[in-house]
Amino acid sequence: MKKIVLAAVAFGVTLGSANLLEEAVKLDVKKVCDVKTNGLEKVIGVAEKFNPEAIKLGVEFKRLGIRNREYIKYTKEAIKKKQKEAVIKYKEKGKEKSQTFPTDYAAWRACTFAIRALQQVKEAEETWRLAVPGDGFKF
Amino acid sequence: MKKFFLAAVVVAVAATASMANEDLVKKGRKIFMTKKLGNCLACHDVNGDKVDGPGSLGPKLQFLSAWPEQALYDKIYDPYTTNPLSAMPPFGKNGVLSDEEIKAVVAYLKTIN
Amino acid sequence: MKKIVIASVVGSIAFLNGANFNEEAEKDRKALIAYFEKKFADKKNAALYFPYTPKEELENNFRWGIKWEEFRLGSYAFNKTGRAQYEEMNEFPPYEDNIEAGKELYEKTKFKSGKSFKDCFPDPAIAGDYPKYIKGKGVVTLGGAINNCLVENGEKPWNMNKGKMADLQAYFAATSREKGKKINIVIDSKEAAEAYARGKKAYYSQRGYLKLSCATCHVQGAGQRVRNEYMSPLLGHVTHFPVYRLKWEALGTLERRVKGCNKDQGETPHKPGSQWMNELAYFMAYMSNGLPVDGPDIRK
Repeated sequence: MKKIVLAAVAFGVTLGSANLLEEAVKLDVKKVCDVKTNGLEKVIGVAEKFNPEAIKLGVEFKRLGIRNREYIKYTKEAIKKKQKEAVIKYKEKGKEKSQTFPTDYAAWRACTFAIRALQQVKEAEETWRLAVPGDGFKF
Repeated sequence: MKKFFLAAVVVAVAATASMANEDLVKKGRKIFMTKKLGNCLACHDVNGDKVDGPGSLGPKLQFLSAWPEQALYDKIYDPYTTNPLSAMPPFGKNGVLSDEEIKAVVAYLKTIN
Repeated sequence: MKKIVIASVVGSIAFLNGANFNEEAEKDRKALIAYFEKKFADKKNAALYFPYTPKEELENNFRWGIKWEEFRLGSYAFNKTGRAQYEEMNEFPPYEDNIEAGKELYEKTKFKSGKSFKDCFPDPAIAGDYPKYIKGKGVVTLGGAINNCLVENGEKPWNMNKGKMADLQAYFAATSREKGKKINIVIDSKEAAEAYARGKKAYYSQRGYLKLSCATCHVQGAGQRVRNEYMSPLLGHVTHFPVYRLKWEALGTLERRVKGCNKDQGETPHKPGSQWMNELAYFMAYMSNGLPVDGPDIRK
């Protein structure tokens, strides 16, 4: 019985993952990550929802030393403390560093990075063969 | 007298607008030329401007002053709509440059002949 | 007599099956060679292959008519000024100490189990044989094999990017080069072929916030420049590892370099020793099959 339950849970978890990807693919990233229309909490919430899946699939975005999980963590803090600027902390070559962004800029970026990383997984499925010499790439 | 006053107001407004535009062009050019911002020079040379070691992955930009602003914006926002294998990143769609930043770059691009 | 007949029948079946499993890879490899030889044949085709490269650059800084084996030199195959600098540096190669250090590690390291590297790798001229697909383990790179050896003998695995790992690989590569070895990647099972296919897909898939695939720069973009840096072609890429990279001022492995590429694409780097990294290396190495092992070497 335990085995069946465990198997069902595992299956459900896998289904859950597939759902996050499918859900992200359907989103209009410009609309969903707009801070002015949706507000900071909602936008960072979207980032929080989808970025773990991006990490799991090995497609999390990283820009100039900062991984999206760091954007999310410190932007969330700034939003909680109602700060106009978010100080994003990260490590580069073992050294502690930080970069400051306006909070709404950081939230927009975190949300966009999370959704787009997943959308690109689907996009790549459709286009990768076009680049292969001898396959979709004619020369 | 009234006409003179009106004319002065128009000139003043135009002057402020063009100063604001100048600032936007400056901001856009900085984004274009800075590695940690837009880094456009990684792939693009610019006709009529001095670019420090432009790459050859993309065309030398010219005659962009003739492009509608929306077309320039869309291209920077997401170039893949026309070419799925483009080497040019979707700067807007992928969260690299914000709406404001792209508009600044567009202001700069509109000065390119 | 019966045994010989059976053995030869079994042998031919195995041979035929082996030949089938690498069919897709062979097709890809040959198409890749055809593409690069065509691209770098003549500046006549420049409008198609180098549409944005200034004419003076094509005239003055490119070598043309590059053939298969020359691609192991990467961008130095076609970049004239780069090639001149590269040849100068190779007169006093900065990686010679690394090869010496690697030799010491190979000959003198004693494991807790009492064994040594010689027991895992009786012949050190094996750099061209990796990555391998090992049943039950999946794809294993040279670094992975070295770490497996350490762990199986009671030792901690080494950092897969640099240091001792790079030094030992330098010794294996240099010995392989001396003996005239070639890159010799084998795909002889269904599982291996599937691993190859995954690596290939990973190579050609766009990733990161810059939405670049490896191919964007190293297939379609090879020969073009990002700022002042020429992008090297996929063909010949793995031959020159481990690499003394001037940017690092140190020797590094293929895994180290791929991590750097991930960062350049805007993606959190994949872990050395991960399935993704191993299978990507498997695909990349197969593309260079038949080329001479040419490591360690210098690159910018």
